[in-house]
Amino acid sequence: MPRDWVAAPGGGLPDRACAPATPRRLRRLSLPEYSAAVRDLVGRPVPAVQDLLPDAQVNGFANHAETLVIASGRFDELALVAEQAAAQVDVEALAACRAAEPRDACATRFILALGRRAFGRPLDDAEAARLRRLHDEAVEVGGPTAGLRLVLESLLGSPHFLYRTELGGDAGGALSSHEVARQLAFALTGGPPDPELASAADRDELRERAAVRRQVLRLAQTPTARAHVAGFLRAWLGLGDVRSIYKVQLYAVAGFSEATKAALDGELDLLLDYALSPGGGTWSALVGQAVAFASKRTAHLYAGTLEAPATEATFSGDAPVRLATRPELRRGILAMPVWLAAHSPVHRTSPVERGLAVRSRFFCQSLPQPPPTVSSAVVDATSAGQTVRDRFEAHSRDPACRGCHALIDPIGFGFENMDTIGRLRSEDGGVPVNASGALVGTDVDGPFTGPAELAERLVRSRQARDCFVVELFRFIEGRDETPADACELRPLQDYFADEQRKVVDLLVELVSRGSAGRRRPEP
Amino acid sequence: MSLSRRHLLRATGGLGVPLFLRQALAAPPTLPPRLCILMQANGTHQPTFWPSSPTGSSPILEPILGDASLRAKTIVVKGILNNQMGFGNEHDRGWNSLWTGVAPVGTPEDGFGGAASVDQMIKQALRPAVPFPSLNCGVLAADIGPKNGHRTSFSYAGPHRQIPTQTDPYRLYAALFSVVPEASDSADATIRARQRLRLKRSLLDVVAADLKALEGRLGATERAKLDLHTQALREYEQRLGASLEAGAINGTCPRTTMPAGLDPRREDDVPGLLDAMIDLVGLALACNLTRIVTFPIGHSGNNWRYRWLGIDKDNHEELAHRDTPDGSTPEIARHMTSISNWAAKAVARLCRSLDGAPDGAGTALDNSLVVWANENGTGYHTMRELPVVLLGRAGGQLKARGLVYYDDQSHRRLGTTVLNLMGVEATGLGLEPRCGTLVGVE
Repeated sequence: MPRDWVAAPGGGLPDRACAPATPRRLRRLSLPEYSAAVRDLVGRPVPAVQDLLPDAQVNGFANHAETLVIASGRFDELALVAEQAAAQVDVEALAACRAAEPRDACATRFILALGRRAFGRPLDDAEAARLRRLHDEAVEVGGPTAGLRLVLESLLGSPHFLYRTELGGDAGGALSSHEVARQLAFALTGGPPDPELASAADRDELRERAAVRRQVLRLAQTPTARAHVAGFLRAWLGLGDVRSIYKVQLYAVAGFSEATKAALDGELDLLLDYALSPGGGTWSALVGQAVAFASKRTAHLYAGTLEAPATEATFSGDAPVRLATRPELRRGILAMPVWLAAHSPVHRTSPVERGLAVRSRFFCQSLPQPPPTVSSAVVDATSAGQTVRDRFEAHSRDPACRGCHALIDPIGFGFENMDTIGRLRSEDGGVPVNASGALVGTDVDGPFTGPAELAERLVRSRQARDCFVVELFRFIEGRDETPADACELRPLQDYFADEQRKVVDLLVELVSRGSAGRRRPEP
Repeated sequence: MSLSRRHLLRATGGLGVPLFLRQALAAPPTLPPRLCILMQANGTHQPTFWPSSPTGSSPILEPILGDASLRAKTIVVKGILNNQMGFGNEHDRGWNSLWTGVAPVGTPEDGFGGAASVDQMIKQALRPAVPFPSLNCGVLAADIGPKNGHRTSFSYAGPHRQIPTQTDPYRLYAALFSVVPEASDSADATIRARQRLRLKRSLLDVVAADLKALEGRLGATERAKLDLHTQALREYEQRLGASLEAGAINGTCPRTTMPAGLDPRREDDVPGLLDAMIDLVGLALACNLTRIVTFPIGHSGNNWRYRWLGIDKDNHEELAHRDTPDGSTPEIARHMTSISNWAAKAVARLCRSLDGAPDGAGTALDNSLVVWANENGTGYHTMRELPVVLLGRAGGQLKARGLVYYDDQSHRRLGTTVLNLMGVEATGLGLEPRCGTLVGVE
């Protein structure tokens, strides 16, 4: 990959000597992190990982440190994965005993090497001795291979594998080099440290900010980091599970089959990767580019919005291709059918859903849910000649609804030229659509029509960029921001306000910020 | 807390028989009553839910009150008011506050439980010595999944710490019966199984030592996370030997035949999933594989279309929100009635299976408390007069039967009542530490 996926290595933001706001803590691996760590340790994916029940989401991210625990039920699941992984993996290949090597020596080497990778640090003597005893007991019962298997199973079940510690050793609250290594690796790549980072930790280099910076810049260049950032973007956009978007054929929503959804899912990967690619990767590339990836299965969703209408000749086979969209109709991720469909109910558009998503995810403003006396019947009572917009406009008339919906619905109205699966439309229920919307309570207030004009505003909104910094912070830190974080969030927001900055640069600065390697005492 | 093998042996009296099996075989009164809380969503149709008189029945409750033996063990509680304000709407607070007694925590879009729920409080207080001290399972299959995870489970180990809901009956079956011995095990197989068990226990000793080492480095806040982990390990360890140690449990825990081909994610499979789950829970409770169950019948604010009842409308948006109590929406009223009636049949099915299992001098139902409740009172988000039914006699503690009517009692009194019936002394719950219990049910 070309080096310029990361634009501005430089020396990074100056350390503002902010007091660390993150407490000493344990972070249980999130399910994607766990999956990556298991795969890394055993050298292959373990199918049972796919069956784990999902973790709770907070702010759309399923990695909140307070939420992730190993209580009833979860322990059994993890024990089962460990057992299955140990049974399925070729542990002899993993141990790679040398021809002349005594079996005993090989077992010791296996325990120390695998243990180091599992825990992200060398085993202490007591840990090594316990594993050795366990190994020997299993050898007695089931032979040499059984010994290796039980060691692997035990490592996969150990809290030192399942949690990342952020505890530090000294009174100043500085994390150990090994803790820093795991923190960097999971933050940047979603998985455990690679050999180079692990060696740097073994040499205890990661207590120096400059050394951390070098590692961060190196890791940020990897394809894994790019995929990890794309995963964050998906969660932030509410597009983590495209295949679960549901539309009801009953309401004449045709053209949204399982195959269409599968294609949209793959095309979203391509779009995000393109938006993050060298030459792009900026805020405006993400929210303002007039580019789509479409294929035979999804071309109908883009009808009327492409620079050159798609024909038979546009596609070869089922492969997606990159196409230019008409910038006055589709620009940026919010104008893509996949986002528009994911933020609509099963049978019609919802100005509330689309408006609320923009307000909460792009402006970091949360609004309370409807009061008890309110019925959504007001928007679902259909009568001939009424558009969705007509019905939702009842909100702005009803004093009980007005307070909140005046902030939500006008944004959503601006999307009304896109139907429940994201096709351009000119009519709704036989009546011409009116896609004039408005932003209020933001730094880019004013009227707009259609998601493309909204995109223009988002591109220049400082508030939306600031919010994006907060969203990335929540995801990386696995916690909510607190007032104490402002000391470091503000400079990061100033940094990202520069049009040239890339999303990955922001990640680099966030991960290597001054207090990242220190913790405050537990509350 | 020591987790060594030696400690475990000491706990079981050194006889090699796990504590929970010895208790299960001893006289039932040593155990608290069984508890099963089932939660339905989106309210009910009030006029067809409540019996017309203290001894009467109702269209919705007919499957329960129309069965003479169940009727004798049923209390219909009218007048529970969930007065919790805070994050989220009534779906969120009705789901996450009813059994915690506190406001949700998180953000308005992600309002999780703000404290341990009563089921987990009871588990922590009593640590029931059974293979599964608590089980959270149910049916969540949905064409339209919940927008947020906080609507998938109402069981919490603490603020934000949601216990995930097991929705796959095959996996639940495998877990439950992993502790029940196979009648056909040969002597050879038994020896091998004992060897595996010994190794597994040694492995857990290693993991427990790691936990202890890590725990020593933590302050109180973070140690609470590891306490849950340590406890889960101990429960797992207790289950391990169960299938080898005693044959007696087998007699009361026959391996049932599971219907094939159910998909825990497919909405049209809901009826089959519900029956399968209800039957497994009935069995697990009756033969003391577990004593505490929480059971969501659909996620909070679900959008099931009830095609299996011939309805095919989104029960949330198209029915519940548009229901009226005054007879002006008769078709919706009919659908809302048949939906709640369908849930009542599942509750009756569970209770009949418990009532068919001998337990001490009576039946398993006599020594159980089954609570069937709903996040909302009506479909249009009111939280007054929540539909609540208490079944079973809670070991003889519940005396009343038929309709008991109150004037707006705090929902925390319901939770407090459940705690006390289960042998956990409490003067209140959550934000009302002195609210007391419901009067007139005991």
